[in-house]
Amino acid sequence: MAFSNLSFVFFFLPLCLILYYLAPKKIKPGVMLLASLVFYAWTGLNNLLVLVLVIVFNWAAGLEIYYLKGRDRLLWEGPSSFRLTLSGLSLAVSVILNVLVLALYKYTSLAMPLGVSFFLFSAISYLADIFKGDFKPRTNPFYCALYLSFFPKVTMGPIVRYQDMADQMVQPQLTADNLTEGALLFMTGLFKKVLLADTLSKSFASCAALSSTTVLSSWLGMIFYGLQLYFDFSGYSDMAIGLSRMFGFNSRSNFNYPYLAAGLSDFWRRWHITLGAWFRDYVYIPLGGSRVSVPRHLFNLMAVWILTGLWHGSTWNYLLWGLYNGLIIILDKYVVGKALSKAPRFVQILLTDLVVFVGWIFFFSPNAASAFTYMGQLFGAQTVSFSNAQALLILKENLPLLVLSLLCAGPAMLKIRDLICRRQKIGTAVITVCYAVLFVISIAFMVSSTYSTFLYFKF
Amino acid sequence: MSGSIPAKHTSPAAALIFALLKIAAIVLLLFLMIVQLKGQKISKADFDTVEKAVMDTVDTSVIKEADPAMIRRLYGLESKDFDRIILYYPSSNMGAEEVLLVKLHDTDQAGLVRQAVDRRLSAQKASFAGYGADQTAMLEAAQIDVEGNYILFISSAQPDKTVAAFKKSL
Repeated sequence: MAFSNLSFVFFFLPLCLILYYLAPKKIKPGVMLLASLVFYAWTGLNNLLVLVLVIVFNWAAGLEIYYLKGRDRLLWEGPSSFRLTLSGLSLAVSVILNVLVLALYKYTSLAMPLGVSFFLFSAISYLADIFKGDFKPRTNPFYCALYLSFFPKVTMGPIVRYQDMADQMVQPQLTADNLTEGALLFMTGLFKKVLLADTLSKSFASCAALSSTTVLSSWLGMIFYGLQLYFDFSGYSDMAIGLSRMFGFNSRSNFNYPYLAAGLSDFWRRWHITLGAWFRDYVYIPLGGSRVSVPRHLFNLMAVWILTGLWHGSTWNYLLWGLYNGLIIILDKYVVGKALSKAPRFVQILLTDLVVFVGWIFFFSPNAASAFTYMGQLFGAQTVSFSNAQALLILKENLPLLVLSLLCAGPAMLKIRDLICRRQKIGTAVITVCYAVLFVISIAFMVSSTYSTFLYFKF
Repeated sequence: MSGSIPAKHTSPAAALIFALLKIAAIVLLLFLMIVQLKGQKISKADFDTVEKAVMDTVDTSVIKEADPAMIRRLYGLESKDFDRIILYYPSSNMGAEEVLLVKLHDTDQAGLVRQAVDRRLSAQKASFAGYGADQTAMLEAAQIDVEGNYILFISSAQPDKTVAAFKKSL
């Protein structure tokens, strides 16, 4: 059951909200856990069993690490002041087992439980943070279960830290502001998904279905996909964060207008922020980060990007995509970054978007060879001509959609909303009407079109 | 955060219980995965026999066989990457009937084929959205069945019948 599903919007969500708000304070977390397990059971009972076993494993592993920390002993002292303690060994074994489960699901023919990459990464951060002493685990398994299964984030993140949810599980911030802002954010996400992403998906499909490929249709296809991916995932994230707020949980933002980034490093600080932060905190910094020799820094960057690529999938496409990003970030940091920073900002943004959009080709191509063929087609290789009537028709038909998408990819709409809100007398009324209209249009799209899944479900 | 661990829960006995629970959970999880993997039996059935069983349940007047170039164009799959692959696609632009039968070299390839089918299905649904109610209904009912080293994707009036014949032939 996806958030953009009619059953979710008109049945599951209202029912959960009513039960949650009516429930006495003490049993609210219980209602939320039950709702989360029911939500996840919708993806299959087998998947629910996997989630429950992952919860039990990590809850017990967390307590074991915490216990061993209190009675730790040194097992081995290696070079460069490396010390292996009993609790460290327990953490390492538990992390390796989580990674093994993830690898088996991702890289074999086993059917992958929805969101497994997200909840296992949350589980690893849960264990690592206990080891670092960032929080004390609870003996009651209930809180670990709610943290890992919380339905607004279980299928596609954001990857929240336990510490950020811990207090809110006990004392959710159930305010009128959170409920309203959460609902508005949910509607914004719904609009991004069903109006923009799903329409862009059709435009992308129309480019792919052309009998003869041209340079123009290749560029259009790449741009449509890049925009679709952004609105699909940021739309989902808005819905997830909006839902969390409606239930009194505040989460960090997952996107910050990434297509306005000046430089690839800047882009990755704005796109899927919680995954980037996870790799920074649990891989890059433990490896030494940037405070090491240049060769070691290069190694650290490539290690993070290869792992990021592999996190997305097992095929060569994703590995190449990771290598591509790692190499360009290294070029940016050590070779061309200073020179590029002197260029006008819009040139930096355009160059960044070009690099990012070309990288997305690895995402939508079925294999590495097709990806390289597509890249060649952007510059005229294996194409019939620069353009033809079919490609021009697609451009003409999709021009309003492209303009709207580009507007919505930046803060323009939010600024207009803030300007209207400043007019106190009519501002709120106008905004309410606008959101109501957007919601009705989104629902109309959901009713008239066929179900479309989220692109990031497959990761 | 409130709710720190009481002293009794940090005793060696409690730690042993947590360790045992951890082991039990991971053993059960790995067992579940093995059962799932074992369920994906490798079939030694002859490809032509499976193809015949499948095609006997399908109306072949509305579909035509695709060559490797067409398979690459519609699914992005390279025929040479698989043991055998065959695709029947609609004869007319208004058709949504489709049969894709693949015998994998390795069951690891199943994910790749699944993704290709998902993409094709999404593209087909998008192209019929809004005007092709019958085609959309057919695509909604389309099925993909992974049976170890064999994969069938069927979009037709009676996909259940084809899937049953496919399973029986393996």
